[in-house]
Amino acid sequence: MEESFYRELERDRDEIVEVVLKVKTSLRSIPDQRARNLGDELSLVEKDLSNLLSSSLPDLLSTKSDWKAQIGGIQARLQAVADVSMDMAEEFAAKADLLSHGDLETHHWFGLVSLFSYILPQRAREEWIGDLREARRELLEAKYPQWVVDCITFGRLILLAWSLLRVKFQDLVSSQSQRKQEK
Amino acid sequence: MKSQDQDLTLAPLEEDVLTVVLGRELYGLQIIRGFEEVSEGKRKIGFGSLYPTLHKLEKKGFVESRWGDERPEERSGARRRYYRVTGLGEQALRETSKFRANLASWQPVLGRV
Repeated sequence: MEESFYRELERDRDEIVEVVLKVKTSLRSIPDQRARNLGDELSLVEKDLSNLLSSSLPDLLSTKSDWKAQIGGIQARLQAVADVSMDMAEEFAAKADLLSHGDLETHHWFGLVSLFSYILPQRAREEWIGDLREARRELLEAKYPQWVVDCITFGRLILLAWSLLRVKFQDLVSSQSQRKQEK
Repeated sequence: MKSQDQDLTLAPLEEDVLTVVLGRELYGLQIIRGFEEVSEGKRKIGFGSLYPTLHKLEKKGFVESRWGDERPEERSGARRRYYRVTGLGEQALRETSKFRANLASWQPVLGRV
């Protein structure tokens, strides 16, 4: 009787510890505040399990039904944490995938973008190329096909080159008129 | 502050951009979205017109800008440039509205060329 109970106890403990380890590993790969909160919840689950198992075997035997309810509660809490962490891991993987597709630096026409960035003034480089990247990301999130997103981004790059010419022309005209006024 | 010879005239696109930025702080993409959402996609301002217009407005002193503090991941850490309308910009908008109202209420005098 005692032996079978002890085996059952060990089996439940091992199962819980195994799930806790899996969830912990999964949460470690998610750099997110929600993941840290789940990690805290997981630590509480571990603490409760450890408190429960710290009782001596006779004590556990005497409160067998109560112990079953408590370990069931721990398992339920652990399952909830595991479910949320699994959703978060999937969400994070999808986001990372999107980022790798959306990042212009990893793209095949990176050379063109970097060449264009080189001719832009520092301020425009950060503002314009940043906006271009963000807009590209939005298109990818809206599930447009990759080639459509590439075409639109390329078109926008041309428009930014046109913008640069217009801005330079504006500066030229305003400096000329300023000189005339000074004379 | 308005100088005596300050040119407060606005091109239609400049007026639109000033209007969307008026009373808030927006960055480039938000202005583009504002145009699209308000007109339900019928009127757009693209990458080719927005920045030269903002540049012109800033040179005229109608808007001022600052870098945002955040470095969003989706922009590979590039900061956003936020624009807001200055007092002079507000004045230019008022002058333009007044001009349009005057235009609408103007009556041609018969017999005068």
